[in-house]
Amino acid sequence: MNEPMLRFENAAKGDEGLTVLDKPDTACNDKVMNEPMVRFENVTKRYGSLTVLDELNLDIARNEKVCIIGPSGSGKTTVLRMLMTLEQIQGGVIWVDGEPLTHMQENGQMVPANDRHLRRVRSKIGMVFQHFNLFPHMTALQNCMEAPVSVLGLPKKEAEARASELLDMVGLGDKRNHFPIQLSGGQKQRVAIARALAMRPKVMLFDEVTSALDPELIGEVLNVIRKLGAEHDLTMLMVTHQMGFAKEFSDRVCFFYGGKIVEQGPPDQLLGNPQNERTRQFLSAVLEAR
Amino acid sequence: MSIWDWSYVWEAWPYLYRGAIVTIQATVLSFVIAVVLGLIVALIRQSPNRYVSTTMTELVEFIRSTPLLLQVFFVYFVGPQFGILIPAWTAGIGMLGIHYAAYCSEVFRAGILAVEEGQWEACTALNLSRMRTWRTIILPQAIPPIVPALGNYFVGMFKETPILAAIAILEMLQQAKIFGANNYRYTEAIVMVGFFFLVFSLVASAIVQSVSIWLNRRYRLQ
Amino acid sequence: MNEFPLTFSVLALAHGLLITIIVTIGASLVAVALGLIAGLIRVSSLWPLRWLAVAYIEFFRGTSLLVQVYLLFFVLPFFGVALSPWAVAIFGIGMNYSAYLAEVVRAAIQAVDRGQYEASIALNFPRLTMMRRIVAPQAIRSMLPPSGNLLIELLKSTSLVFFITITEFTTASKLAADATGNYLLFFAVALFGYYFLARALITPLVRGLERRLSSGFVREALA
Repeated sequence: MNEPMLRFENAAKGDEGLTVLDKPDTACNDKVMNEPMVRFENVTKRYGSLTVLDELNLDIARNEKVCIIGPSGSGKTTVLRMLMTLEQIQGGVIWVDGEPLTHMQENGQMVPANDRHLRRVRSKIGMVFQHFNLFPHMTALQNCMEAPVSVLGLPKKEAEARASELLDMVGLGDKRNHFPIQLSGGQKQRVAIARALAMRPKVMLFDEVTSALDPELIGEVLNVIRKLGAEHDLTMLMVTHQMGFAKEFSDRVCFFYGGKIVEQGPPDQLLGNPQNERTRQFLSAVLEAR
Repeated sequence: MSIWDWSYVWEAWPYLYRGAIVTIQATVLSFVIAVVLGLIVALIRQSPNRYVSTTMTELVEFIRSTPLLLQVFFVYFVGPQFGILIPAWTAGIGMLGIHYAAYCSEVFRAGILAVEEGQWEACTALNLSRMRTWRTIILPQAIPPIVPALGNYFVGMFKETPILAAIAILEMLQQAKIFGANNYRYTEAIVMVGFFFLVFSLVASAIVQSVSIWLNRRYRLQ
Repeated sequence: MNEFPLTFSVLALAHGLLITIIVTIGASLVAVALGLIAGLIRVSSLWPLRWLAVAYIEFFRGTSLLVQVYLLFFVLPFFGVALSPWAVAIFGIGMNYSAYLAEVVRAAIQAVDRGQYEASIALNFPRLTMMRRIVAPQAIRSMLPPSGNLLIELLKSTSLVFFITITEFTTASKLAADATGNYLLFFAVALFGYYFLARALITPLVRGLERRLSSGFVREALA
């Protein structure tokens, strides 16, 4: 079933304790700045009897760049998909910018979020997918204009200016009227990045964005991400297999194994001198494959 | 008596012309009903409410497995039993449209299911509303590939219009039969009707073919 | 509504149902026989034969079924061939559906992987052996689901013999309804009767056939 809008009827009860956190509007500026941009609190994700994520706790600070690594099936992509509300969660709460994502406060009580709330919180998040998911019947420019016009209500002129600017930034100003099928994988992925940025998100999610690319096209996409990190205030969360990029780019690397964060830390430490046995095994396996 | 007599061809012509107009009107009108209703039914079948979607699916199955003639009889004759008079034209066109709406809904459904899951996810990530997602992202991708299938049903409906004669709608074949009965000479009129159907089918199929090629190019689907 | 017409109508309805079943079976036998022949000729390597098959298929698919039935029923007698309504029903419907079936046969044969043909040529099979032992078992499996749909369409189209005065199921229900005035009852019964024939008899039959043929196919492939 193609059902994009996910509902959260199954979210766990027993979140009462979380209301102690101040709502953003009552908090003073300092507090807002110290508050994490994204917080996973005891988040559990199950498919039937299979537990993919087990009581995950993870805070991501404003403007922090976090890379998530781990073997396939470790739940790392699920983290991003839950944040984008593409997956329901079975327990816990996800906070974005001080607001609960999957719940909302009503008369001081936490209740499952309705569609309007979801849409408001979701507008702070942008996502780039492994398989691009560009709209095949629209040009690069139209791909980048669709959401600003129809969601943000921007006038066409303004949306076009914004889209052009972003396409220039990712180095595709001359391809603005090309359809996705006329672009290479790397170019498609750069359009997808521009498309997500056009919504001015505070958090960007990158889900294995180079995995579907031919090796010689990976660099151009990583360069765009590098530039984004250097020039803009963006919180970034990326699942990647590019260890070199993770090391140079991120503030923190999290290693997932079996639905848990087994080890996390600054990239130099985690990638250079891992403490956990699992991490060492994974890293040596990845390095051997090189 | 000769096998083929051209004078009958000229004499039958006015009958067939009148009938052809009715046939074409009936086909076009009921095709519009079939496409619009078929799309609506397909969208309802996507409903997350399982009772709604299964009820629709069962209804579609039912309509598809019972004869159009019987359905037309049902609509036309059951109404008056309860004091509701339905004109033959309304009953005939309406039922032909509903019957093929069941087929078209299957086609639309296949088209919708063929759109990649990632397109839905991108729409969620971009926060597009549900309406907007359907209207500008999903349907423009779902419909061009199914145009040939819809076109084939158009041709199919055209060939089913003679059924309407059963409730006294004077379409082409019925006119030919009337002409034949009046003149004790069926050959020319019925062969002409057959020829007209054949030409129409072949031409319509060719048009459908080129439209689908054009659509695929227009929407960059190939 | 008194007792007598009701009993009478129920019997007439049962009789009509029986006739519908007989016409369906007869016409589908004709359709299968002619459809297989036309479909095989359609993929023949000789172009005149191929074109003959194309003409046959396009004629029967392109002119309406009822037109064909009228040609047999009203026009043929002028040429001294007076078929009984039964023959018209069974051959008219059978020939019409044979054209659709021929297309199914063609599609199924052409859907068999090219590699299978190449392997057969590499193994030096005669063409007939290749068709019989390699292509046919694979093609038949992919023919079954569309053939099942065609069979249901054929069942529905038997209602058209209403127009040539055979009292089959639809006609019987119409007559019974006319006689008693209760259109809702008899048409509803007839609708569910067709639904039952299609979904409780034809669909399971085709499914069963599919299962049997594909399991046999797997056994053969393993042996």
